[in-house]
Amino acid sequence: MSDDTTHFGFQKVKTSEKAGRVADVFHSVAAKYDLMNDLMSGGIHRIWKRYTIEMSAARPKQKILDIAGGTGDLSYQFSRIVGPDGLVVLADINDSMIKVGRDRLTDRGVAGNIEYCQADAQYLPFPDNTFDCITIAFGLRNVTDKDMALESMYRVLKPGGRLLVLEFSKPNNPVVEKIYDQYSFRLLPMMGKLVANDSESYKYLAESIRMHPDQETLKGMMENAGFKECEYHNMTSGIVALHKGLKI
Amino acid sequence: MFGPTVTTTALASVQLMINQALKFDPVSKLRLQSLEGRLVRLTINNPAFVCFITAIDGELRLQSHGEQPEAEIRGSLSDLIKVFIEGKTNLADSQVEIIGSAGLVQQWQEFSKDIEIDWEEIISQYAGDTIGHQVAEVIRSSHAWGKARRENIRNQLLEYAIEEKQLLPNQALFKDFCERNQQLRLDIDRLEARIERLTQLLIDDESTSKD
Ligand SMILES: C[S@@+](CC[C@H](N)C(=O)[O-])C[C@H]1O[C@@H](n2cnc3c(N)ncnc32)[C@H](O)[C@@H]1O
Repeated sequence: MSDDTTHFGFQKVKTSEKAGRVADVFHSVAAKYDLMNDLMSGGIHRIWKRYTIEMSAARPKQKILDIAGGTGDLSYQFSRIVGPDGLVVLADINDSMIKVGRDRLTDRGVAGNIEYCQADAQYLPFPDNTFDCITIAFGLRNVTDKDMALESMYRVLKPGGRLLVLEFSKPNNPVVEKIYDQYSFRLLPMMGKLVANDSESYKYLAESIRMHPDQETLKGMMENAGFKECEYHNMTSGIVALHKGLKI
Repeated sequence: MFGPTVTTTALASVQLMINQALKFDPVSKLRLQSLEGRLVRLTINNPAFVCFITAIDGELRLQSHGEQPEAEIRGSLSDLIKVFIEGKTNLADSQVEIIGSAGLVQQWQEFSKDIEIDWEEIISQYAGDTIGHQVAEVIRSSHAWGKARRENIRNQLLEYAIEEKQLLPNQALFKDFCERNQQLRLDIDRLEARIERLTQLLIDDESTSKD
């Protein structure tokens, strides 16, 4: 990859343009995102997220940052766990996504221990050593400079805190990989067209999943950013993986 | 082949059933308050299975992963049922082993033996038929489950599951999903072939009309 271009799905675009184009994708999808998400993964994303919450070992009174928090699935659960004396920050680069998230969480009765923040994962606007736990679910693959984002997360994490990255990854079973390929490259955009009337966005989604680093590569990137005791857990045959790293 | 996904799904659905039952059981719900945030590890020896139990925001949670539990409960499934569901055997007289806070375990025991839940159904669904049957026998002999109540919970559950857009994919649904997926794939293939043919026809048409 040359210095000033980066991947946007399978296309190469100027690095400076990528953030804007990613934002466009999510703007156009935001309102129907939940519905699409459910259809796309047959509701199984709830299970992946549930496991992520378990692996966070979050406790009352903790401060938790949910980066690329989108419509707030993880933030909702965290807000229940940390309780009135804790704090959850839902950060996302995209303001329409945050708005949908805020409305949804308010509808579900979440208030008081949650803050919303428009922020880019690469330049997190928080002091050093702030959070007990940071999560980024299905968000890292959209970030232009992932190493920079991981370093930024490391900085704002408290010593003893942990980072959890939930992301599509490389299926570890050839049969599943084949089915999944068909599914994401042809079905996703088609369903995107039907539901959100936006097949381009879902084409980008399918492509960006393919461009995302595999399990071992991401683990190495986390180690480079300073994280210790890095490990990952494959779920559903490695269609997604949950990476965990500590700041010691 | 599915790793943590299956365990997590099974625990999530049992948790859902218990929490639904708790909605009709204010006393147990109150008991749960004092258990808020207190983690217990449950190790079943036979069949081997580990999970973590806690309460969060007034609901029971069953987790596949937990860290620094305050207590651990170990025993065979049948011993655990005797102590925690039937409430027949005293903890002290049982084969169940407790590590850590005995007081906390006692509290969980108070909670679990009083909630009215169709354990029979839950266990046979998740522990397989043979074990499920044995367990069902044990429980049937010691509990008279109110049929009306059971129906009620089941209806409520069904409603809930539908409302929540089929929160938990079961095996049948998943199979159905895969089959439909397959069908859709074939349909796409056919559609593509047709579009190609039509496009070809158009091109041919144009070139002949130009001639
Ligand atoms: C697929 S959604 C995931 C939302 C949520 N975490 C979930 O799992 O449902 C990806 C989110 O990442 C956000 N995003 C993309 N690039 C980002 C960046 N550089 N920094 C922060 N958020 C970003 C998008 O706006 C979008 O809301």
